[in-house]
Amino acid sequence: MNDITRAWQDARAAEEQLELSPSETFMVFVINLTMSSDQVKTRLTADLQAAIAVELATIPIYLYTYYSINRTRTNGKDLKPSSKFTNNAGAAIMSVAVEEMLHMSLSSNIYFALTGKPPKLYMNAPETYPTILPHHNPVGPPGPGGKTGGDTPIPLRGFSFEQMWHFLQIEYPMKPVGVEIVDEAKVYETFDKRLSALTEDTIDGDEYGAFLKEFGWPSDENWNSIGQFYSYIRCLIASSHITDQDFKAGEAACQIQAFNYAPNNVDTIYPSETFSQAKPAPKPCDAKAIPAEGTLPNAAYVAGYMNEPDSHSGGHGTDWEDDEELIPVTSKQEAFTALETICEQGEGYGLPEAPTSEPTGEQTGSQDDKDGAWRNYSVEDSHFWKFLKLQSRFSAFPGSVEQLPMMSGSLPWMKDSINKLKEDAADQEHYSADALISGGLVYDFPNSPVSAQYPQHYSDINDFLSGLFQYMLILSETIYLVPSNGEDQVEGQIDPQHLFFNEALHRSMILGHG
Amino acid sequence: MSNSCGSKTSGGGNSCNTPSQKSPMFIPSQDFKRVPVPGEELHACMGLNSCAGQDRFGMDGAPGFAPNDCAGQGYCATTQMHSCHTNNDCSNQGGCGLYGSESELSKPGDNACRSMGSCATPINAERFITTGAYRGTSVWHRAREVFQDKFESKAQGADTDQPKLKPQPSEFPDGPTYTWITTVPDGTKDSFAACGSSGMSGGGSCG
Repeated sequence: MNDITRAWQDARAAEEQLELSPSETFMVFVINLTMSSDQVKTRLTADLQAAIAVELATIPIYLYTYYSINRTRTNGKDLKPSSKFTNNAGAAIMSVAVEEMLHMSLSSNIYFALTGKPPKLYMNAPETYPTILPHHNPVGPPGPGGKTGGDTPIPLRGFSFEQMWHFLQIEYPMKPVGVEIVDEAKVYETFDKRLSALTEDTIDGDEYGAFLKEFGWPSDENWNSIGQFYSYIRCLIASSHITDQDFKAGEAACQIQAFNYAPNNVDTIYPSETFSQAKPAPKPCDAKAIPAEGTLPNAAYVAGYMNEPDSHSGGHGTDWEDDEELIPVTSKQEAFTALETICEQGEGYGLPEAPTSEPTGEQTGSQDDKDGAWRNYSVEDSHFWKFLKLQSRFSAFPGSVEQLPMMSGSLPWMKDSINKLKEDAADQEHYSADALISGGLVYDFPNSPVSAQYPQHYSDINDFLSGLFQYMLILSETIYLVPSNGEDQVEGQIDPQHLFFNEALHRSMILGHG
Repeated sequence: MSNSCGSKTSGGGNSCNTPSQKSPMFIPSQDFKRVPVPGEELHACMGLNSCAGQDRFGMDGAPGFAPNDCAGQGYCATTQMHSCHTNNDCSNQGGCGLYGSESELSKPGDNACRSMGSCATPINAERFITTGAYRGTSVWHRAREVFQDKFESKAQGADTDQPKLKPQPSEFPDGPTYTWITTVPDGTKDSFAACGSSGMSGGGSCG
């Protein structure tokens, strides 16, 4: 067996074991054939650090827009469509920010497992905004004013149609543009014929490049989407150069543990309907009770949850005990599982077959064995879809270019989903950013402010918060020096990493918030 | 948390009278000030006291209500009030529901130490758990359930007969309401807030 055949067979084996896409399988083949083990490990280490930097860069962008929304205007029984929309937007944006922190943690755990060192976070976030994300040359449709993603830095900006366009550029789905693989068997048959015609003397870099270009990979490694960047990292790990032993450099106990993450909190929820703020929350056995006719339900009854426990590759949404999104990494398979979670929650592999509707308060889930309570599980939307749904509620959306891909046919896999989204949005109220500001639902935030632009008394606060941000990055690196003892669930025991996380990081967050 | 009730606060006892009958005995003025008693049990909310008299109002009970005569009949938290996750000073002082991990949110009022508590105290009746197995259900009822399990577990292991845990004050079947917390003298008037900005905590917002 020559090297070409072995590289191809190894790639096909990885495809089966790790559920690679055809384009990923071809990339794994090229990596197997053209790179040494040292080269792959060096590249993987550098790309994981870059991925962590990308995740870190997105968090201030999302939080800035989140805090521009005034959710305190929500009044349970007087919930207006406009305040319902902005409250929903706040929950959606915060839910994405929470998952970006999860993704940063998962990438950091892989990095630590691979290198035995914490990732570099301190002074590794963008110094100022607007900023261009590393390795990111999005190829989505032009935005407002004909802007294209690759030329447009991403700003800190209040909640608006234009900012949603920037968000969509960050979260653009990973499926390569122009590639619609409808018959994998035929593709592989064709490739096998081309492969059999090659010898080690005839194959060269141009030939590899041609293979990859056919399947949507850019030739300059300036990735079309963050999803594609992660896809390349998956390929490096799936290659025959990486083994389980490569993930033993940093022990699992020192990695960020599952108990430091929760998919939802009070800021990722939203009211789907009017409710009574004065009604007590239900006992578990009453959670399914339908409100008496003519009365408003309690808050819990109408609560929508933007994140779901079944949105990651490690869980199935039916047993909370098994639903751990934030996993330590000790093997190739676990590294893959972590990356799957990032891709499934984030950019997504596509769009839902049909958009999910907002919760109606009706409990449609299954009855939990643990306490008999009803859970309203549903697979959550990807980040891209969450933001596209928000953008569709702005008055500029019907005439925008964001919907053009489905019309042009360049992204046929989006067509049905976006058509359905348009139909749904047509029956709803639409808003301009100015109207939301004048209505008191969005604060008139400045675009990408810097410290020098603030009055002195605000500038001092800004400097303090910038310092606090860097301090929290140092603490985030330090977590890897505080091993868990596995006692978190044991009565009366305290896990040192959990205590460190709460004492250092969460209290710092509260200090910054206050 | 102690079940022995050997050191009574405010002269309290364990006779366990019928709970929560309207009492004309004690109706304090609006400037009533609670005086913390050294050594008193610190807990997170109504109905989580393991001895008589252990709440913000001592043996007298809350203004306009019956005395707190027994374990489980207390009116309000004895711990220092706080509004957020990790801001508790010691064990059993965290509220719950709004922020924190699944394990934290599953045992309100039962945290192991400082900074390991989850969210505001006291626990307003409108508050529900936002993540984990108890998502969408009452924080206060879960806190009472956890407390009851621990109380009964300790009683089973005791050498002497222990008093039974009594129901919380009957006027508050679901725990203390936000309205009551913020209007009762020396409850947590004017400074109580359950954190978060979605408007769904039932206890106001903090941004």
